[in-house]
Amino acid sequence: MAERDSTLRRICIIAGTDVRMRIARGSTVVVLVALCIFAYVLVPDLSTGRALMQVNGHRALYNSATIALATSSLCAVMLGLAGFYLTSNTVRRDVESRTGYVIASTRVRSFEYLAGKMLGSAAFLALVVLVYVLNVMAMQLLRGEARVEPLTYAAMFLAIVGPVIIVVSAIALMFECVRPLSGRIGDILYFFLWAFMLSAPAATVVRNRSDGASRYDVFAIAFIINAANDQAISDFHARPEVSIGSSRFDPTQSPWRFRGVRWSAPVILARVTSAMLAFPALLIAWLAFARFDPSRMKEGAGSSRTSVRARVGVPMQRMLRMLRPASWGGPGLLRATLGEIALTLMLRPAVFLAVIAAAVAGALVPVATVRTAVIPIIFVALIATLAEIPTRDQVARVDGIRNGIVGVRASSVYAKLLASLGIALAFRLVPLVRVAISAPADALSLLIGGWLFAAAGVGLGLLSRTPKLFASVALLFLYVVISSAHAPEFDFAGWNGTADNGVRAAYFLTAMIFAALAALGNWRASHAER
Amino acid sequence: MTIASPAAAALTLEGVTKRFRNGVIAVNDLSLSLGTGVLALLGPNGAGKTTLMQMIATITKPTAGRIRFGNIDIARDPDVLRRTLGYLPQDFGVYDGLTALEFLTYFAALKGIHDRSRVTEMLELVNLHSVADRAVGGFSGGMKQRLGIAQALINDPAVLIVDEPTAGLDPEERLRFRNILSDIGFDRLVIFSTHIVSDIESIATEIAVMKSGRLIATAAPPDFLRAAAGNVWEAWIPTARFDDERKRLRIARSVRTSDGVHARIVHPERPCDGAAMVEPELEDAFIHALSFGAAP
Repeated sequence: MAERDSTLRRICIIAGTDVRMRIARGSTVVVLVALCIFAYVLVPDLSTGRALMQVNGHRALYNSATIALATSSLCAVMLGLAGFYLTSNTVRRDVESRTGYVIASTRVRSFEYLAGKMLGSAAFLALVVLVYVLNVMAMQLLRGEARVEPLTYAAMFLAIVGPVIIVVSAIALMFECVRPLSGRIGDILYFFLWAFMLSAPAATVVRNRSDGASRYDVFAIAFIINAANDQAISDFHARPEVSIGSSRFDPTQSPWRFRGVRWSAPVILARVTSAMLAFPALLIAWLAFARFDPSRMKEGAGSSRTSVRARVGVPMQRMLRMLRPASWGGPGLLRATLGEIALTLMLRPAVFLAVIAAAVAGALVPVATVRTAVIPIIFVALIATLAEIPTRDQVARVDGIRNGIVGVRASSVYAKLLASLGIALAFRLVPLVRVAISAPADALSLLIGGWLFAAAGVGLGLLSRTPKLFASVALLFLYVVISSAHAPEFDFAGWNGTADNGVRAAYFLTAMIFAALAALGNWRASHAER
Repeated sequence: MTIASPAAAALTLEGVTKRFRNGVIAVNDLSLSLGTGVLALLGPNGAGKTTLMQMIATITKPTAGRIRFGNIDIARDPDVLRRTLGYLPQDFGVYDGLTALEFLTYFAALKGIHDRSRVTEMLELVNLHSVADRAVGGFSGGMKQRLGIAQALINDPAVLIVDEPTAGLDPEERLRFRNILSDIGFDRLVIFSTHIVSDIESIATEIAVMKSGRLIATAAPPDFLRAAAGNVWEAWIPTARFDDERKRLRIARSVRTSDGVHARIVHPERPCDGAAMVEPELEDAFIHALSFGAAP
């Protein structure tokens, strides 16, 4: 048998197959269609009174430099979060299909496998970005005020989004290889890492006007601020206020023409060094990669007698078993709901501890801290808890068994909705009482916020058949909420005290839409089975 | 070191032990020497068959002992074996989005085979050439398993390891699978684990029985049968007595009729009045080895 082998060839084969598999998925089509819509919304028609970018109240002229800078910066931020959730399943796919065992029994080196997987993820994200860029360029053809310059787009996206693609792909791989980070906890932790990587360089630039921050500026925040500032300072002779994203502009002010980034060796070097952050992540991935060795994977999963799970989780499970939660389930909506709650506690004893911790914190700290710290943290914990409720039957491959039991199929979605609602309520019960005493209207918002997360968790989970969609959307939403403390439209749970009845009604309606989607999905699935 | 031909394959296991960190010993002090032919690895669930195969397939290392391929310790230099190894793990899955051709081409490439005709040849061998361009997500369990054996054979391995490949297959698929293994097992080493004895009785040249991580018997099928001779009986048991007898005796097979239960019993002595000694079958020999630890 003729064998021709090279490291590069193997890496390319792994990467190429990974991309092919991702493209073949239906969800990729959804992502690409969503990008078309996103590009349409992102570059507003000037006749609507809104513009994509403004500096000191002057809207930026719609030329290639402006549109490329604004859309690439928004793309970098979004891709930084969504890219992780889109790509952090590449090793797990090989574990679940057991093809990983076959790969482990070949001469493919661990670093070749990991490099191939990382490049596959990066190539897929690059493809997504390419579709996005083409859509944005099409929007410039429709709404622009200058001719389309493809090279300007290429340079800007390469500089701004390129490092994001590389670093996010590497971090996603690292999270998959480091066992404690490979589950829901990792999904949540990545959100905080993303928020840190997003805000730290920007804060440094604003505070110090230092170029040092640009060397670890993965999301190009410092780069974008500097790019806009360089020209704006000379044009306006003042500290510029740059706004990127659709917003109303003053038509009486003359448009400002952004001439583009002044490419220099330090600027390019800064972007390259930012991309280099992928290397430590890849190194950690390589060191932690178990190469599908079941004994190493089991150890990493905490089967050791000395692991935290063994010390805390097992005694907690024993305690919960005394309540005989398995007998709670059964036919009937109430029993099915109790069964779902019991299953959550049995599978994740930490949820029980977290509920107790939320109650203690909610009771002991000042009410102002409850609103600004305890409740946001509770919602982060809720994301981790609620995300897996709608999809765990499918992941454990027991959905077929469950659906075969008389009455379970029909009530399943409602049981999951009610169980999610019940768990969300248990987390917030004490804070809810504290807030209700001081501000009853905000307590209503908090109730609605819990219902929104419960319904969105079930709706998005059942529709996408993965917990990642809800986790990523909810975390991004929380980030926007926390960053927009004074915007009533984002005060979905009332912790900022700015929501009015209209906002409450809007979020309640949104929650009902998610619940209806979940019910519709369940109805369609059961209809298809008949 | 390179293997001159598949026939040169020789595996030696010396005191191989696998102990997990939680204290479980999956394989315990197992020694075995293997040449070419089909080794059937028999044992109940949890006997340690899969862990043993994973160690031979270089996926996990023994915590004690050595596995040598030729003169090479595969824990130290796994590539020597990997170059000429085919492995089909238990519950093998597929990448749903790929076609059968793409799937097989991928694994061929990972094994350093870039000859497209070899991929086509393998698809023909497992009778999947007519669906080569269909997405494998829509394949039946048997078709996926055949694709699995095709990827295992793509590099013409000297050592082929297949872990419970017939689980979940219908009788026709199982027969087809057995025939493929039988055809290729002449000039190479095939290690085939199962707990279904009928899968291996026509193709095994050697049988190894594992129980609780230990190798309790190893022999050629005729020797196995010889060891069980004089220990297999057939008897009519009244229906009312059958449940009690079942607790006391190792019943290999039973058929209920209106007159009672016609039972096939593995026992070192005459198990009950009226029991007649019969020639053992491989299933009886397996039960005999498991129940009474009698090595051939």
